[in-house]
Amino acid sequence: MNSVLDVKTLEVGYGNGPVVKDLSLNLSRGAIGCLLGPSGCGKTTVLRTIAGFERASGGKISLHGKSVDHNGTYIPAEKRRTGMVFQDYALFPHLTVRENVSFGMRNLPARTRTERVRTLLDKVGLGKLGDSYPHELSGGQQQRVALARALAPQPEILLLDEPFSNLDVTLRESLVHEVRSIIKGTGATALLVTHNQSEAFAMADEIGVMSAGRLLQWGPARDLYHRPACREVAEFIGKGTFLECEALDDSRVRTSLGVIEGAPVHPIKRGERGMVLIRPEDIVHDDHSPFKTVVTDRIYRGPNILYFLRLDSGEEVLSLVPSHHDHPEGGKLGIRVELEELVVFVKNRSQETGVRRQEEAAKTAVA
Amino acid sequence: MNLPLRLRRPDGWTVTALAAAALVAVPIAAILSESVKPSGEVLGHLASTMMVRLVLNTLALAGGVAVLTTIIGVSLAWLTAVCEFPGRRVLSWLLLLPMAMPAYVLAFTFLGLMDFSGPIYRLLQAAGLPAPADPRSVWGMILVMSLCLYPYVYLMARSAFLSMGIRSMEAARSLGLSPVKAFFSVALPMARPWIAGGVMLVVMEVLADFGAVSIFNYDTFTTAIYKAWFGFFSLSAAAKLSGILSVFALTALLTEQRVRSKMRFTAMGRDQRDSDRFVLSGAWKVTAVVYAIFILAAAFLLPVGQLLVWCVSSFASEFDKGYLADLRNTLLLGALGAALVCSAALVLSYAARLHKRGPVRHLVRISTLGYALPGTVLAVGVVIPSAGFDNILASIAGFLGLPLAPAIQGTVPVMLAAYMVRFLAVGFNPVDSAMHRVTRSIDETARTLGSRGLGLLRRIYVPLLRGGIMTAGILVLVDVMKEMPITLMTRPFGVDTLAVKIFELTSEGEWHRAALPAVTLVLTGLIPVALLTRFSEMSLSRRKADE
Repeated sequence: MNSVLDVKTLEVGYGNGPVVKDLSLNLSRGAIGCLLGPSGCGKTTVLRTIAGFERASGGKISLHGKSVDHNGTYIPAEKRRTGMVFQDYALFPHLTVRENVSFGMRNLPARTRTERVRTLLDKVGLGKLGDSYPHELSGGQQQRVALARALAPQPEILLLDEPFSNLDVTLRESLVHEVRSIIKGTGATALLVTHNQSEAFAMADEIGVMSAGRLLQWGPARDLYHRPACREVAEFIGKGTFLECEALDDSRVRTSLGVIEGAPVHPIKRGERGMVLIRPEDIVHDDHSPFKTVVTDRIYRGPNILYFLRLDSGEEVLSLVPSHHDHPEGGKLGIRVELEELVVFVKNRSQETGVRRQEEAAKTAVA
Repeated sequence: MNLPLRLRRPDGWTVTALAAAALVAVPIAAILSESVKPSGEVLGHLASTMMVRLVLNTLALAGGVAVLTTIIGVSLAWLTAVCEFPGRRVLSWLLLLPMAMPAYVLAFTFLGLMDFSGPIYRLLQAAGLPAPADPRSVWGMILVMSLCLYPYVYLMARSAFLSMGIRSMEAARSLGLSPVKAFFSVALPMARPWIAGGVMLVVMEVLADFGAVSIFNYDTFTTAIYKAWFGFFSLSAAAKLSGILSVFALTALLTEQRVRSKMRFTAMGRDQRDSDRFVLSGAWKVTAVVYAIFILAAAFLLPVGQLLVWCVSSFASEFDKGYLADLRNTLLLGALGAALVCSAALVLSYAARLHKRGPVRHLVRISTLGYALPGTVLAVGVVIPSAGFDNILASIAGFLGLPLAPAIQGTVPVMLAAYMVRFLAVGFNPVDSAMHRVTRSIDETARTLGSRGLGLLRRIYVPLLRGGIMTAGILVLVDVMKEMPITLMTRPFGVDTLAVKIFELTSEGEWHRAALPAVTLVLTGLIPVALLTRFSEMSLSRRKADE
């Protein structure tokens, strides 16, 4: 087993009911994981519990196979060897950049320490700013100092709490990419918390979607987008709409846009009614199509245009079309559906969490 | 939310906070319990002859000073914050210098300047003009106090104007208002909570003042308390007067706290730049410069010049062993008071940090209320319980046949306790704001990096709090050095300070001889003013670095 972080059926919270319920996840060496969810969903609490600032009320947390919070065992934050990057960076204002970075390496010999600080500062591109004080740096530079400081003692795992939320949008995009390559370059294992999808997609190998203290689905970005485990995930990740449908067999459904065929993500049986997920890129512009729609709204986005289209049934779909296909509001647009994965949520099936449903699906498949 | 771990650990901080709060509560409770006792003969006499006059005098003075400081403070704040004229930069901090002047120093210097033998009288006579009216009037008193206290209003109004003055004016003018209209309908109402906050601080100072009013022989509650105690030897009458005065003071305090809660800076687009200022020209420019210099001259330059002249002429006879002994006492008391206040502030601030909710918060609030209580009231408040304690001790001693002697009344510890109650808020604020710089995430980062216990304290807390504790220490040191009524009324027999010396000399009209101790106090008073300007400049440059 190469598991660095293992969280099993974690529960955190007292009194007014748990903030985090029945949460399990696993990160192997060198992987970057991400907890994604709206504010207040409990994702930061998970991070703080792993760091040791909160105590689990149930379940188990192990770092490198060693249990750090389980029943009676509790290892305090300062002995867990986790590196943490806070939303506000929390740089020590009275220390220089160099002193900040070497703060956590007191037990190393001086020469190793100096050497390591130098390498890290070069790696984050701040080699010349070692003697500056935090208030003299820009937001992006402060962020990289915080990252170098957290990486310096070679922690078991790097924890990042909304690390990009204090930066402006343009800086954020380039920095997300840069931070990912720095972390990958050191081979560190990391867990990130964010409410921003594009950040999660750009940073993480595996992403968990959280809502109301529960983990709805854990997997790579592609799975979350194309194989959402439940409606909540489908709605939270990316854009898309749902169409009423009735299953014809295990891979075809009939909708107001005709029969749609694809590899089923969730099992369907002939005659079952439900909702099928249509992503904007699943709708292809086709003047010869028998299905004509009305453009109710449009957002021009440079390379493409996002159209809001009304079907004869009154249902609405979105379509992402290259921007040379210019149709005015109120105009007609012929479309057809072209998709690979068929995501259908059958009506009246119990609304359990996605993870469990996936497990069920796996069992059915085995049977 | 899940509480952080350390909040659930039992600790001794609550006990310490409770002790500090009790220290503030005891004098107040003593005064209150004494006030509700049936009134004795002295108070009956006082009530019939003086009470109405005391109330009217106090209200007239407080009202007059409030109006005049508002006019001076707001106008100067507007000129230096929003307009541009030659010398604005220098004047904007020179105008803070009157803060270094204790009111009683300005009061006796003012009387000296206006005396028959004084320079102004002679100047008027030489010009063939009529002699000035008697300066010992309510108008003279209002003028002196206002010149001394306007910086409170000036500072508060200035920070309000600086943060939102120009932007709000531009918005108003883009909606078609003339500059004058925009000032009165937008900028002034916006800054109202700040101005009101400054004025309430002024009112508290006026209610607490003892030195200046006694130099002017202007009867207010503070002088009446002193006379009741040291003239009629009635601690009970002094306590009853103190009870009434504390009601006034606490009303001012509550008003101040209510307006303080309304102070919310609204970000008005980008920061103000110097180039955005209204450039004054022609007559306006000259008027602005002359006006600012006139206030500065009247409140600081002229009186300091007069003091220096007196000081030089009396230096040879005044700079003696007596002066040095007074100076040593003053410094010693100041240092002891500062050390005590800083330790208490540190403990309270840390207690408040550990307890985000619950009783400790309230205890901290109560402990810092003492700054609203006038020194005369506090002096009475600490003497009543310590005299009571001594009486109990004496009766025990008498029962046992031991020699009688007061054990704590009139000792330095009681004095220091009174200082602490009075100045705890002065020391608490800088320490507490430094404590807030150690954010929870800084604390937690240090712990993920392996620091804890004493190491955490040494590597993070001590360096980050050092500046705040130093500031607190200096502010309290200087405040204790200038303090007059508590020192005068609770000092051990024979212990004189510079302020006590000034009181004694000025009550005999010996302005010249009071000049040396006064200059000493003004010089020490300059230190906190320098700190204040340095910090406001630092916060400005830090904000620039953030951009």
